[in-house]
Amino acid sequence: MDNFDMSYEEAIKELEDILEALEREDITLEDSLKKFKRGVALYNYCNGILKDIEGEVKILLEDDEGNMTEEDFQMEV
Amino acid sequence: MIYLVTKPLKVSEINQYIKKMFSRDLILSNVKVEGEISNFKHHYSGHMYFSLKDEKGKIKCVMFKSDNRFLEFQPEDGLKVVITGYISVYEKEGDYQLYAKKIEKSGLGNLYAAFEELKEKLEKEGLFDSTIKKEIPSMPRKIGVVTSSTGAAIRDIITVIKRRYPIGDILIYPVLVQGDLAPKEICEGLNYLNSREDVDVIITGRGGGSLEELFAFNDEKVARTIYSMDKPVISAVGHETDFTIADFVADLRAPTPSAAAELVTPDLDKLIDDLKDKFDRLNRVYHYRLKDCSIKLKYIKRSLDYYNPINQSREKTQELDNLFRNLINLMESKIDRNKDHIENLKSKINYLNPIYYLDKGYGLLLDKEGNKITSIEDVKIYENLDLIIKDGMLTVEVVKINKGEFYHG
Repeated sequence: MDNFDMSYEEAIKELEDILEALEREDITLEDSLKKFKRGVALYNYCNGILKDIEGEVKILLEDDEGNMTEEDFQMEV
Repeated sequence: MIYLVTKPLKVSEINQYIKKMFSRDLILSNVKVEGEISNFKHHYSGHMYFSLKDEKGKIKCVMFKSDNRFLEFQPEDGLKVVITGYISVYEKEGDYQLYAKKIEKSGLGNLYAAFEELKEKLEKEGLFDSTIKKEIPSMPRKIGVVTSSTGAAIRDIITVIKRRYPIGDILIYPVLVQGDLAPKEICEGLNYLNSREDVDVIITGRGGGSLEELFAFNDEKVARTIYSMDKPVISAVGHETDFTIADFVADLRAPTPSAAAELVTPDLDKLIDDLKDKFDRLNRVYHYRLKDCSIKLKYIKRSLDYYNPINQSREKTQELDNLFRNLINLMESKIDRNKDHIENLKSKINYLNPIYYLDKGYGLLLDKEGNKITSIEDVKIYENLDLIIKDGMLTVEVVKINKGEFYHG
């Protein structure tokens, strides 16, 4: 049921919509439960993005044949 | 030849004389000199001391605090300048030097004119149009950077991104940022990163410098390349006061490379806090709804109970029971009351029973017909009467009648 082929912003937007819907009183309890479950799943998804592993810093290098390769970039201190 | 040799002059006197000579000279008293700055020192007194040189020569220069505070740029070694001022003698050292009143970057006139001309042309073409600026993604996965791999710019960019948004990837396309090859390399870098699926946004720039040093970012090809990009480009050239053509055509202009890194990344800590807040809100609002529903449910249950026919018949039964109990009570108390009444009557009857009095020693007088004699008028002299006493009956004869009271009770 939970489809997370979406960006962080899209997920946050949906989470905000769910919060708004839950704050209105015109939805059924069954809907509330569904939305709550979806909200928790969205939270977990967003949290996963934010707690992702450290980003990479790569530098592009061109070899003799003109192919681009990536290498870890070491910052000079 | 006649030598006017009189007494020798003092050093200070000859220096004074030379100084006067210089000041009378029309050229030396108001001169423009072009050259390259070297040995530049900004003394703590506020005065500037340096030399101006070309391939063949050198002249000492000074610019006093009162003059240099109007300078629009910081002079530095290697900078080619045109100085306006006068030549005079520093008597203490016997040096002649150029007293600078004004310093301009040399060639600036041409470069600046070219800059203005290109800017105007591209502006007319609509390259700077604010309505076509692409939106900068708020959470880029991979940030492309086109700059020198050795300068402070790349170091600043990486440092800021690592601090604010450590989960972001950075891909550097190293280029020369000054020199004749710089514009071509910058264009190649921009085009390459533009073609990469995984790059979301591109920063291009370098640290601050003179107009000549920044010329690659005033290049028409660079400007047109930035304009043609599908991906948003942030320009980050020089320090805050330097504007380049790239700044105008880029989707966003950052005053420095560090600022570009700030603009392109969200603050991860803040994102985490915001997300946590949303989660708390989700829990709160959901549990509030549950509670709300359960309160409503309780209320409904109470109403249901009230109207439930089972409970209603039970109530009726109870009512009936109560009525029955009341009835029983009433009956019982009525019976009790009657019993009391009977007892009462019984005791009254006792008092009325003549035997009670016979027992006490009284007698009952009857005539022959068995009628009770209660008055003297009922009897005749010598009449036989029956006198009933406790344990038998006497037949007595009336021998004397004494009318009136005699009884002394």
